[in-house]
Amino acid sequence: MARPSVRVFHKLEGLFSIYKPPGVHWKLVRDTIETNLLKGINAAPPPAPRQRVQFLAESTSVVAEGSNELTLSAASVPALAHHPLVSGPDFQHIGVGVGHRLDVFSSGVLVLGVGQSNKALTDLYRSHVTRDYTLEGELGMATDNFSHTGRLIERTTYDHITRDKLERVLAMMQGSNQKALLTYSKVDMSTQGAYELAVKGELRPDGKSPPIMTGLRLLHFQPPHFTLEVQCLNETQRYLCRILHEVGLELRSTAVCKGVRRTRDGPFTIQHALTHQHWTSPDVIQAIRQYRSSRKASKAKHTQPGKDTGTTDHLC
Amino acid sequence: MALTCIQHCQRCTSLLRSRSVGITTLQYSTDAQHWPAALWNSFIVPVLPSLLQRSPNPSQTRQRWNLGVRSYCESHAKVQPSQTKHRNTDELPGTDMVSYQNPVSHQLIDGGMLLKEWQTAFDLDDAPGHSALEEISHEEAVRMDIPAALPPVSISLKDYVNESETLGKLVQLGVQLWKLEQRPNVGSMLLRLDFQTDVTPRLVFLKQLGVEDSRLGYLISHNPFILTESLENLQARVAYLRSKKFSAESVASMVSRAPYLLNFSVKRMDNRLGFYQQQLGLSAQKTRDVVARLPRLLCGSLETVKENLKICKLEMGFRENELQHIVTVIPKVLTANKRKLTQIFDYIHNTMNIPHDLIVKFPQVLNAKYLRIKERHLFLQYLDKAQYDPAKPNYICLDKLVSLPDEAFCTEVASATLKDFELFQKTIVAQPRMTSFSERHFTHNSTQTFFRQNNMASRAPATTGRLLVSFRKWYYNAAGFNKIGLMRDDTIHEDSDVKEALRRLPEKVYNDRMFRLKRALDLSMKQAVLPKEQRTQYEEDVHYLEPYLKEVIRERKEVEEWSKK
Repeated sequence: MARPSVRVFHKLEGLFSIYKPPGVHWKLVRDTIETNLLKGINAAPPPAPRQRVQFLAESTSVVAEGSNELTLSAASVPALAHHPLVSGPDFQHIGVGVGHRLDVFSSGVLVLGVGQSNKALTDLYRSHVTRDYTLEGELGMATDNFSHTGRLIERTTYDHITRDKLERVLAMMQGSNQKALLTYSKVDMSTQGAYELAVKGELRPDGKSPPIMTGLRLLHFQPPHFTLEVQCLNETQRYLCRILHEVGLELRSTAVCKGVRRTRDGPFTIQHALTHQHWTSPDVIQAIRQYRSSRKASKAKHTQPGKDTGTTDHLC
Repeated sequence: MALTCIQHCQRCTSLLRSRSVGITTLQYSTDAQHWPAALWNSFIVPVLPSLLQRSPNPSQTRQRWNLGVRSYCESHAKVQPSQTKHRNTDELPGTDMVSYQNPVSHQLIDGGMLLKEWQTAFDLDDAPGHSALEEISHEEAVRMDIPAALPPVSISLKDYVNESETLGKLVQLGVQLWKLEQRPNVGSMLLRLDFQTDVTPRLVFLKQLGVEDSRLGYLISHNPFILTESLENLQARVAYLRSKKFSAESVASMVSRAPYLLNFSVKRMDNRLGFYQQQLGLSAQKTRDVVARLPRLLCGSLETVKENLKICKLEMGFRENELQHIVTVIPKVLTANKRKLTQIFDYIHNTMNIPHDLIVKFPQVLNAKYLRIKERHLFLQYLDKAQYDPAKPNYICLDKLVSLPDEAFCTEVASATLKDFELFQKTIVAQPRMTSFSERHFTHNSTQTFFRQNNMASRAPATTGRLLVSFRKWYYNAAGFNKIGLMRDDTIHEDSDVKEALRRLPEKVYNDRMFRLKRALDLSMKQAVLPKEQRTQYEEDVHYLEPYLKEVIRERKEVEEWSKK
C-alpha cells in the first residue's frame, strides 16, 4: 500500500492558479508554495516502526558448563534505520512548475503545476492561450521604464483628452492588432477554410508571433486616471506598459502604467485564484479538484454535436 | 582487499590490547578502494566493543587471527612513517572521511604499517596452529559471530544507527539525525561519542540546569557540539550567567531557546552584555529582561545589531528613550532584516502617515509582515476607515490592525466579511515608491528633521520663535487686505506663471477665490470694510496657490534649461 504521504502527493498533482501579490518575485512565490505543500505532505502520520529480530547468546555461564548446545534467545528490537528522525521526511523536494510568469511589478493570476502535471502545463502554454489584463494608467507623466516606479522624464498636460479621443485611439490600435493577427495566422485569406476558421473565432497565430492584442477596451476614464482591459497573446508585462505609453503618445500627451493585473490566464480566472492565506495543501487540493470538474463540464458541453467553440482550452 | 584486511587487522589487534573486554569483529566484504571518490560527509565506523554483545571464545579466535595477520604482514608490510595524531585524515583526495583514532594512533597510508610495530604486536614463537583453511567443528562454527556488514564509509547514519548505542539513544531523545548528517563532520563526531562517558554527563548537566526533556532533542539537533564541549567550560559559563543575576529558570529557558549559548566563552558573553547595556542605556534589570527574552542576542554577531541601531537612530529618527522603549517591548528589532525593517517603517510613516510617537506606542507594527500591513491598510482605505489618529473619532488601533487574525480583523475592525477582504486582495496593484524615502541622506540632523517634520502642517513657519510670530501677525494685519476678506494669494500680481498656476487650481478653490475677489471689489466700491468677526485671520490664511506656483516656476526653469542645450 502506498504510504499516506505518497497518497497526499498524488492528490496534489494537478494544475491550480494563485493570485500573486505585487512587489514579489515569482520565484519566491513558487518557493513558498513548495514549502507549504511539503509541510502538508509530510504532516501525514509516519507508518508503524519496523521491528527486527536480534539473536542474543546466552550468558557465558552456560558455555562454561561445557554444554555442546548453543542457546540463543530472540529479541524483537526496533529497526531505527527507517525511523523518520534518521531517514528524514518522505518528501524533501517536489517539482512545482510555473506557467506564464509575472514580473515583480505586476500582480494577478499565476498558474502552477505539481509533479506530473508540469507536462500538461507546457502543453497548455504551447497551445497559445490568450490572457486578460487590467491596466491602470495615469496621464501626464512619462518615465524611463513606462511605470510609475521609474524615473520621471517628462510631464505633459492632458486637459485636451476626452473619452471620445481615447476610444478612437484604442480602436485604431485594435484594428492594427487585428490585421497582425490575420497575417501571423499564416492562412490564405481567400480560401473557404479561412472563412470557416474566422467564423468560429479560431483564426489566430499558431507558431511564433510578436505580442498581439486580440481585444482592447476602455473600462474607466477619469483624467488623469484611466483603466484599460486587454486580451492578448504572447505578451510580456513590459510590453503592456509600453502600450500604455504609446496610447499617451498617440493622444499628444504622455501616460504611465500604474498597475498591471492579470485577470485570466487561459482557462484560469481570477475568481478561483488562491490568495496567500490559502496557499496550503488542503486548499490547493480543492482548487485542483474544482478545476478538473470545471474542465469536465466544459468538455461535456463542447462535445455536444455541432458546436465546438474551442476558445482557449486545448488541455485534457 | 589487502587494504581492508590490514585495516581490519590493525584495528582488532590494537583494540585487543587496549580493551580486554570482548572481541572486535570487523567487516570483511567491503573494499574501501571501490567506493566513489566523492564521498562527502562519509563516516568510517569506529568499532567499539560495546557494539557487540557476544564473545564466545576470546583467546582461541585471537590466536587464529594473530597468525593470519602475521602471514599477511610478512608478505605485504612496508615501512611507512607514522604521522601525527591528527583526527582527520585525507585518505582519498576530496573526501571527508575520518579514520578511527585508536590509542596506538598510527595512520594507515597506502595499506602500509610500521614493520616494527607489527612484529612486536605478535609473539613470533607462537605455535603455528590454525590456518584460515582449517576445518572447525560445528559447535565452534555456531558460536562464531558473524558481525553485521557495516560499511567502512557511508554518506548516511542510517547504516550505523542499529548498531550504535549512542545513535539509538539520540533517536529516542528526538534528535533529528537526518539533518545533522548533512553538516560536515558532525556524523563522524556523533559516531565517535561514547554514550556513557560523553553524552550522559552532559545530558545530566542540562537536566540539572532545568532544561526540559522534550527540549533536549531540539537542543542537540541544532547544536550537536554541546556534546563535545568540556563540562568545566559549560559549568563556568552557567556560573557566569548566574553571577550576572539571571535566575535559574531564565538561564534554563535561555539555553533551551538559544542552543549555541553555552558554546560561547564567558569573555564573549560578557562583552555582549556590556555592549547592550551601554548602547541601549538600559538598567541592568532591563538588559537582563531583553536578553532573557531574546537569548540569540548573546550568540550572533554584533555588527548586525550595530547597523540596526544606526538605522533606527539616523534613518528613522527615533530618539534615545523611544528606542529604549521599542527594544524592551520588541527585542527582535535588533536582529531584524534591515531591508524589511526600513520597508515597513517607510510604509507606515510615509504612506499611512503615522507619527513617531504612535509607532513607539505600538512597536509591534515593526515586527509584522509588510504584505499584511499593506493589504489591511488598503482595505481600510477603500472602506474609508483608515483613521489612525487617536484624537479623532473612529480611531483604529495599530495593535489591532497588525496582530488580529484575518477573520477577527474583518469582523471587528473593518466590519466586512472575510470574503470581501479576499475579493479586495485580488484587486491590489503595485503602489508607488515614496520619492521622499529614496532621496534620504545619511547625515544625522537633516534626516531626523526631515522625517520628523514630514507630518507637520505645511503651514508651519520656518522658525517657531514667539517674537517672530507676533511680528508676522502684526504685519499681516497692517497690510490690510484681510479687512476686505482676501487671502494673501488673492493679492498676488498676475504674470504668466501665476496665470498658469491659476489654470491648474481645482474648481472649488478657484470658485472661492473668485467669490472673495468679487466681494473685495464690491467693498472697495462702497468704501467699506468687513466687520472684525468676518475678516480673514492670520491663522486661517491658506497659501493655496503656492504649491501650484512653485511647480509652474520649476517647469519653466526646466524648459529654459533644456532649450539652452
